[in-house]
Amino acid sequence: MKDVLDRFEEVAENPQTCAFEWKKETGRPVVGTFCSYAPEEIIYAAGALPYRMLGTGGAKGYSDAYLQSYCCSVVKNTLDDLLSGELDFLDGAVFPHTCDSVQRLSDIFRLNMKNSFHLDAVLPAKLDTPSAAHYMKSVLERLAGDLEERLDTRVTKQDLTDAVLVFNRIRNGLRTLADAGMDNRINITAGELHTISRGVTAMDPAEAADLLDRLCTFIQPKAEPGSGPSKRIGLTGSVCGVPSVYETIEQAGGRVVLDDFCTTERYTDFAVDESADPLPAIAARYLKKADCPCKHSSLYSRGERIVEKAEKRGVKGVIFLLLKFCDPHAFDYPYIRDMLELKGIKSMVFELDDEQSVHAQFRTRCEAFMEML
Amino acid sequence: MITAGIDIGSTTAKGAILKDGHIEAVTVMSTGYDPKGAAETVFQTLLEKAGLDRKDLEAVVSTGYGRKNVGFAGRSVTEITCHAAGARLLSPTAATIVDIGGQDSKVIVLDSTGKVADFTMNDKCAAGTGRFLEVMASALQIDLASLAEFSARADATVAISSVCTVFAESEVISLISKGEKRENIIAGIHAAIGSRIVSMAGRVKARPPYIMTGGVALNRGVVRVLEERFQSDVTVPELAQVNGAVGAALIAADRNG
Repeated sequence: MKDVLDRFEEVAENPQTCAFEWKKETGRPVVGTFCSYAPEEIIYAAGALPYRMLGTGGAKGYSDAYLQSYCCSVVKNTLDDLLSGELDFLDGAVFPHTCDSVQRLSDIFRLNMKNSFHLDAVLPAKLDTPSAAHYMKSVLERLAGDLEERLDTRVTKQDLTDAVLVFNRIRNGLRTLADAGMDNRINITAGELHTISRGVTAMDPAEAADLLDRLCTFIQPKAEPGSGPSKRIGLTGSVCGVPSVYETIEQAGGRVVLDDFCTTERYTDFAVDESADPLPAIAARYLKKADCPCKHSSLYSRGERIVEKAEKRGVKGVIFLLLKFCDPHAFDYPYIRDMLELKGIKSMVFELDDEQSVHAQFRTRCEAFMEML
Repeated sequence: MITAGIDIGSTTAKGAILKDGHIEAVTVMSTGYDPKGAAETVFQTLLEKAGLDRKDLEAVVSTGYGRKNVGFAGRSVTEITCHAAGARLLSPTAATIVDIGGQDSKVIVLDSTGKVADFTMNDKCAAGTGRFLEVMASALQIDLASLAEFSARADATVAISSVCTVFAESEVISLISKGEKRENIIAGIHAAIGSRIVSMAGRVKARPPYIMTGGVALNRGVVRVLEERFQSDVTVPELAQVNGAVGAALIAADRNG
């Protein structure tokens, strides 16, 4: 088990190096993506490695010439990575339609990418309208066609079916591990699950699926009794780039049993129907998966989903971990907090910026939150 | 039962010894650069004041930002929980605690049993805290303890647009160069702190009766501003500065707490 965890950690800590090594070894292209709405199945079916750009951090400072100061650290750091030349290994980038900052980041990428292509996937924002399914399918068909042209390849139905099977294995593996972890059926922490989910974003999907299958063999049929602290905690927000968040929560006496970030539960939610025509099935998955504040399924869909999951998993308190200047999540916070409160679930909000580890105030607030629960 | 609470704040170290729920001794000193040494000194001072020996104490709880540095404490509890516990003894009717210390500001809402129902505190920025007042006092060349007295003499409140220590300091310097009265600038500084606290209080649905603790509670100017903004009395308990230490000592006495 350790060698598998080590491999995920290696990729999570050096995503660019690992993706570049993959490119050298396979001779195949790497396509950068942004957010969990990027249809990775189609990129993989076109023969490329979908590489999730999350920003490596370190305040390189190049992005300041292009972005206003009130941009979130993920957007800033990703642009820093591009402008510093660290993303020169990319053959292209696909930007799904998400928040305003990401749309503008997409434009800046378009103007500054070197010898590589740029595509926008203008997905529907309203996912609950009668036309959304047709629109989603047509956007994905167009994306597949654009990728064929830019990568000089053909994307066949079989390619799409094969890609669907691989990504379903990945998402199913991550979900199974998360479920087993929260039930004490595998000795794996929420922090390790976070590292695994980060590793998946820059690793050959076939390798990731195999490694996750191997990890799942360590799951025990019955829960280990009495291990770990008892305060069951939920986490929500955009993405979490600070792994020590999990350790801090555990040290304070919490146990993360709901991890609703864009790289974790919102990424793993909902499998593609393997028995259906692959492209419409992929489109259906992106309509039905757990949404984010940049999409609209119904007025209260996000809150309802978080409350339902929290209740099902016995969550006592939810920590909203918001990236500084991430408006979409900040706008959603008050109503979701109120919905949780109505069910007797306490919550705490904490704003994170571009930090490498959590600071004393987060520790104090976590401890006080656990004491309050 | 004799217990002690040691509260190592960023600016001051506080301590309290309780015997069967009654305060036997309290002390306040500067934390300085050595929180561990400050904790030891606070403890020694407390023991001397109470005429006790270490072995007389049944439990010690530490709190404050330096709570992990108190080796002789049996356990550490956050200042948020300790302030709530302290208020149960010092101000039993309190529903909301506004605590402004050297580098932290907090609003703690209590439930009907006096336990923490919700809380909010500043993040890593020390805007609007005691440190902010120190820097402003220095820019205005007056003693920190005189701020309240100056603000009471103000005939107008100058608008200070930020509680960011750096921005506010340059704003204050601009106002000085324009010839604005120090009294009015200080009233503006207090008003800025008040706005920040009211904003924090709104997030946690704070309600009266309010009490104020922490070192900034000693500044009547800030308390007056909060009373105006909350449209309610804000009580400062006699032992406001040691409220957290008292709470820690109470928690130490509660074997189930």
